[in-house]
Amino acid sequence: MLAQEQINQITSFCGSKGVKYYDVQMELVDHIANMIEQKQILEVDLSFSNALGIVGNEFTDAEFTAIVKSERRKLTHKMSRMIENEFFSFFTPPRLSLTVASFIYCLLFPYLVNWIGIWIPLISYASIIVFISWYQKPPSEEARLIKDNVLVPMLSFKIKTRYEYIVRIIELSLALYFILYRTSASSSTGLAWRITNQMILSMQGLLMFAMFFFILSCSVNYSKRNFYKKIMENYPKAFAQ
Amino acid sequence: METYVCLGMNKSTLYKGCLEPIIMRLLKDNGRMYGYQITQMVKEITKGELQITEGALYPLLHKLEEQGILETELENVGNRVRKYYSLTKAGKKQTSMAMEELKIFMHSLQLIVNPKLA
Repeated sequence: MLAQEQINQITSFCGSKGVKYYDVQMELVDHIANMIEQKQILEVDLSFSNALGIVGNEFTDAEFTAIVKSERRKLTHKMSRMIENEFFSFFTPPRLSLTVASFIYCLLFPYLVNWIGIWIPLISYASIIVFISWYQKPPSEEARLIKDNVLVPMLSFKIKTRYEYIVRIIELSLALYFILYRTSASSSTGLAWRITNQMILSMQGLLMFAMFFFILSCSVNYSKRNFYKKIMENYPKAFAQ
Repeated sequence: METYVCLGMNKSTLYKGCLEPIIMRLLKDNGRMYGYQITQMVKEITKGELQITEGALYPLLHKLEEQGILETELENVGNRVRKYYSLTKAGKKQTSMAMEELKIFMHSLQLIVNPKLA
């Protein structure tokens, strides 16, 4: 069995070959360590550094790159599946009832405003969104804490799925829409004013869209948190206790 | 007898397409295995005829894991972490199908390479 210092040397060797992430390195370190141990069994006098040199020459740079690429692809796929499962869970029982109720509330919103004024329906809408996104411990905060605790670079934390980009784009679009609306609502020639009036973008439609966006955003946050938690369980040595 | 295939091809090219069912079969027979163990077992069974490189093995293992055919388990071995691969339930079904396909493929090859024996 190789000593810790020798394992560290193998880790550095992998790092020098472009495998700088701990979660990819571990598998390769074990593989190279096994190869070295085998060589030393067959050739008792072979020193560790010579064995590492021989084993290192058996690998090409392209092989290291291929391993990192395939791991990245696998992790991206894994996280995407987690997000999809989380998202669809909002449309299957028991969460479905909450989702349907929220969408019905969006449809009834303008009538409620006419009946009891803007504030109570608005606060209720905000409460529904807070309930959907924050009824557990804030996921993004927990994910950030896990990320901050890591001691070494991890490929798992570099993974970005297409859903995160979609969330960012919707966030920006909503922000842009509200800025335009605020700056041009008073003028009949304003862009947001024209969008609202000419594209039949009703209040219900906007509220439903925002609700849909929050569900997607929650799915991304929950999945990320669960993904990071799993990483923390799998690689406890990579995190500060 | 006429031979139509593989002139000038090296062994690794020939084996490349069969790597997936080979790994799945090994995992079916042995339960769980780690990367190095797979390379050694293949080498041992084929008496050194087939040597899987790390650059071919790990991307394939990652691909099979991505497809839900394999699952992994991490274990601390001394001062390092070892990743064990095993077949999932779906993977076991896939293995049987892959072996059937491989048999058909081998039979087809026989028909081409050695029609009399086939």
